[in-house]
Amino acid sequence: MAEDAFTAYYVNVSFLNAGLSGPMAGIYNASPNEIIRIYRVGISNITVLAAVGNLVRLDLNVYRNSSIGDSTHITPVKHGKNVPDLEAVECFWGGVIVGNSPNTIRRVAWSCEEAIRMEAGNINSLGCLVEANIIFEVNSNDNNEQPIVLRPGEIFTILNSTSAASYLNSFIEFTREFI
Amino acid sequence: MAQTFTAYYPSVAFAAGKNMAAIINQHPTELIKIRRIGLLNTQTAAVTGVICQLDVRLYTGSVFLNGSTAVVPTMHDSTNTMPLSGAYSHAGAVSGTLAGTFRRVFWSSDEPGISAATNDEMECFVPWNIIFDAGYADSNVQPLVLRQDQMVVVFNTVGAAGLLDTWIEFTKE
Repeated sequence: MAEDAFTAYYVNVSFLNAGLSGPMAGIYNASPNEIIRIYRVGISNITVLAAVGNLVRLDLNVYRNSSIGDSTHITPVKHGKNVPDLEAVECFWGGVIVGNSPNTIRRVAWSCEEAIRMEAGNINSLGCLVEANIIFEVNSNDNNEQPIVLRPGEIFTILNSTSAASYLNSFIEFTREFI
Repeated sequence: MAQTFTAYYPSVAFAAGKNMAAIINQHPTELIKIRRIGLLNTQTAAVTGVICQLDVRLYTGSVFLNGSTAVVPTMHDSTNTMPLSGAYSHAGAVSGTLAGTFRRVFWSSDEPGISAATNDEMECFVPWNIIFDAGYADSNVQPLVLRQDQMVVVFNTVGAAGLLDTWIEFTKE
């Protein structure tokens, strides 16, 4: 394996706290020495408390020459214990992105109502299935395709673009290469 | 690894006989290779949907899209350079010779519900709505290669209600 791998897991991020047009999950490459490559992004519904859910729309956005304001940071998990720490790469949610307009690569509708009943076959329950809810994955069938590459000053987010209720779990699987 | 791009066509209104998403290559030597095409239902407003029939079509000859609406693809790496003579748009009048149909799918254009499990909700899941995927783990299968004056179109033949999101992943070589 040539590059250091990480998984950033964003646990129970509140749609309300992230805010309308707020990032539910993001990675900001603020490092002049590192390149981030995003291979897989997934979302999960693990809301167990009753929630009056909304149908929300989530955008997968890439920002060039941008930065993130006050936000909540999380620490990604290294896939190997000998992997060096990230130098200046921030995994965050919330906050306001300052800079250029985003480029959108996907948008998905998401029901943020709780999934509680084992016998319930609806979109809320299907939101619990990992494989069904991978919303970006570099084409593993085709080595010719690039992942999403974040160079210094670039940001990737899952943006909540329509409404606010309940919680979202997200994961972003990425690698880091030193320049 | 080839330079990779995603063209995203958000909230395109269904109409009968309409180009919902298209890519044209007009360069004599540069190739555009279509790797994956996906559809998504991201409607949040109520709509009385209908069943639509979408074809993935290849056109050749004098291809152009008169009066269409352009989109700007996202480069997967900011050091990529856009194809020299590529065009990416929806709507407009499709011109050219229909050279073949790669896929035909039915699509419900109703909005998804919060706690339902009908066709509308299944259309929200990315992995289940990839309608063209070159290779599928077999490197012997070519992607859909656009040479000069060739065009791929996600074409809606029937059905006129609601909105569609489409993404097309392609490489430049």
